[in-house]
Order: sequence, then C-alpha cells, then structure tokens
Amino acid sequence: MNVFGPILLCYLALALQATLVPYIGIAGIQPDLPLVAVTLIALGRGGTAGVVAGFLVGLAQDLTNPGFLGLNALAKCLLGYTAGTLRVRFDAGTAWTYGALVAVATVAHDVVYLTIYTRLVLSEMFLSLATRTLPTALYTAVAGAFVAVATGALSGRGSHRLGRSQLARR
Amino acid sequence: MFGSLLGRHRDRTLLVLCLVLSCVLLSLDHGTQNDVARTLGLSLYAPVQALARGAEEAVLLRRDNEQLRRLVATLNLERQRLLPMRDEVAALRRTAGFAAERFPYLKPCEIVGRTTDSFQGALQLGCGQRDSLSTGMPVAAYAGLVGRVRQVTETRSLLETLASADMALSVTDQRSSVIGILRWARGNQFTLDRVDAVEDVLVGDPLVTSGLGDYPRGIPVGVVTRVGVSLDGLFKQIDVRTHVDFGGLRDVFVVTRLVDWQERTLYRTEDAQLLRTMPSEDAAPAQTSNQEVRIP
Repeated sequence: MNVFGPILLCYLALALQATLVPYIGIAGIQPDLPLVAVTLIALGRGGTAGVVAGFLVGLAQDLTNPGFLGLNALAKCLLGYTAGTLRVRFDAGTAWTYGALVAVATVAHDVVYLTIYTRLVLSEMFLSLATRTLPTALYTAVAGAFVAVATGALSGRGSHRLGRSQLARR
Repeated sequence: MFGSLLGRHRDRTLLVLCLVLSCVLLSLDHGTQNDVARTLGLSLYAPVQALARGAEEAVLLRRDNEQLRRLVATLNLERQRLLPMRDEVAALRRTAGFAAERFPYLKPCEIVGRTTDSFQGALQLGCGQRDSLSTGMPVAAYAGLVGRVRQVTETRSLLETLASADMALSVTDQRSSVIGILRWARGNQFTLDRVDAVEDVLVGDPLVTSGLGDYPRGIPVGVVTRVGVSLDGLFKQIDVRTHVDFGGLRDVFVVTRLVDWQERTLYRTEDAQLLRTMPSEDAAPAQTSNQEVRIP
C-alpha cells in the first residue's frame, strides 16, 4: 500500500495552512486544508487510513497550540472514520460533489470540536457555529473542490472520482 | 486476540485506540501537555521550520535591515524632539502629586510557530523562561498590542493573541476617554462591549489599552469602524479593527517589566553605539531643547 501520497498530502496541507492560508483569509475566515486532506484520504482509501490520517493531522495541529492537546486529533479521527466508512454511500464523482461533502464534514468536525472546547455552553457553541463554522465550511468546500481537481490531475485520472464510483472501478 | 481484532475490525479498533489516546492527551495537565507538545513538535516541525527560516532569512533579511535602520533613525529624531516635553510632563506630574509615568521594557522575540486552529489564536515564541518571560506578560508588535503570554517553558512560550475566544481587554477611546471591553468576533474584527448608548464614541476613534488589568496604559490596539445602538437601546454596538494583522506577524515584543522613562536600561550599550547620534541620558533638558531647535 502506497503511503507516500497521503503523507505528502497531509504534510503539504499543514504547511500551507500555517504559511499561505492566513494570507488568503476573507474577513478572518480561512479554509481548513488539513480537514480537506483527511476527507480526501478517507474517501479515497477507507476508514482505516481516514482514522490514522485524521489522528496524525489533528495531533500535528494540536502540537502548535497545546492548550487543548488531543482535541483536533479526536475530532479529525472521528471525521476520518465517518468519511471512510460512509464512502460506499457517496459518489463524489465531481469536484463540486466533493466540495459539498467537505462542507458537511467541516460542520460535523466543528460540532465535535466546539462541544468539548466550549464545554457544552450552548450559546457560545451556536454563536461560533453560525459566525465561524458556516462561512469556513463554504470556503473550505471551494478549496476542497480545487484540491480534488488538482489531485485528480496529478494522479493522471482526469476528474478525481472518490467514494462509491472509485470502488466500483476497482 | 488483539491481532485478530485488528485484522477483522481494523478501522474500528484503530478508531477506539485513537479516541482513547486523544482523551488521555486531553486529560493531561497543562505542564505535561506542553512538554509532550514541545518534544513531539520539535521533531515533527524541525525540518520544515529550518527550511522555511533559511528561505525567509535569505530573502527578507536585507530588506528588513534597511527598513529598520530608517525606522531607528526616524524614531531617534522624533525622540529628541519629545525629550523636553517628557521632562515637562514629569515635572507637572510631580507638582500635582501623581505617580511617575512608567514605560514598558521590551524584549524582542521571534515567532517560531503558529497554530492552525481556527478557534484559538495562538503563536509560539522562540523565547522562554531563560529570557525572563513569565505567564501573563503583555506582547506588542510595531503596530500595537498582540496579546499576552499564556504558557512558558525554558526556551519557548505560547502567545495568546487578542483574536482568541477567551480574550477580554479593557481599552479606552483615546479621543473621549470612554472605557469599554474589547472582545474578538472573527479575524481582525472585534467588538467593544459595555459602552453606554449615551457615551461619546465615533467611527475612526483610536483605541488604546486603559491600564485597568494586566496591560500597561497607552498601548495602541485598534480603531473604531462602526457605531450603532443595541436593540434594547441601552448600549452601543461598536465594531473595532485591530492595528495588528495577526496572520502576518514575524516579530513581537514582550513587555517584561515597566521602568521609569529616565532609566538607562531602556537602551543598552550596543543600542547607543548603533544610534551614534543619540544624546547622552545625562544631558540636561535645556541642552536637549537647544538641539531640538536646530533640527529642521
């Protein structure tokens, strides 16, 4: 099993998130590239790869801010598992379908994250969901669509088909 | 048994292991979390950081150097112009019986890491306990206030920026002296809370730290961008934009202590050598005043 591609993708996503992404934020809203990478890996390679990628990427994010060490790891490994397990039901055949999936994944990830981060203070949680998560999900979906196209082009498969359609082809 | 479990339900077993590990990490105390993060982070990010720093220094160092020389020369001239006023204010405060004004002593620190977390604004500094940093110290940049030191280890520290959900800062309107509480909304957008509807706050008013709380008075924070009234009509709804762009920061200054204006430790010997034109601290105010007249 080739693991070089996913590792490179995760490393690239983390590096870009820390360097380039702060400069392309719109009114403080930035795309979540590590989340895009985890979703892409989980949809392409299944639950096991999704869990491992989610945990490692989340842990790498937590290391830069150890105030809640383990929180991103927990949220992202859950996301990786869910996306990887449910991929048989998805047909992310086009970039925009994949973008929509990424948007849903962003909201799901932030619900888990904020539940622990706000210690279930619902007012803070819903405020953050409304003011940060939804715009971030939209921006991340657009970024995810571009990433799906780019990875598809790099792997020489044209439009990068993920989920059920990819399984069927295999 | 574990091998068979891993073989048949590999994804679920891994998920449970990862969840348990995450919960263990979350339940650690802050000191241990910091140690774990430092140990793992140093090995994981060291190659990337070394590469990024090398490239950045090669491209930006020369430009930065020129810019800083120009800035230092300009500030030195400005300082000479302000010296007589400083002495005058000090004399007036003494006469009125007020405490002497104190000035922040700044420790320059490089930002060596930034969080990729969208809910907690935090930066990692390359200074720690060995550089006399401790928890709670205010941190500023050239443009204004950045935040405060949240955690400190021997060689590193974690800076909590104003763009953090937990941050609340007492600021004052520099024009009208109205005081309010600054809270983060998103990005560089903040709100100023606890300002009565009848108070005098206008768009464009500069905000500085009020001196109430842990931050010294007078550090620039931001500017008022919108003023409205809350639905109940009791408070103003004020939007604020900070001077500092938290995403583009590379160097910051930690306020390690407050010193008197006249204290010589504000400038080290090597600083004075750099600023060859800087007048001696022993110079009398009258002489400084004469020097000021000669400056066009």
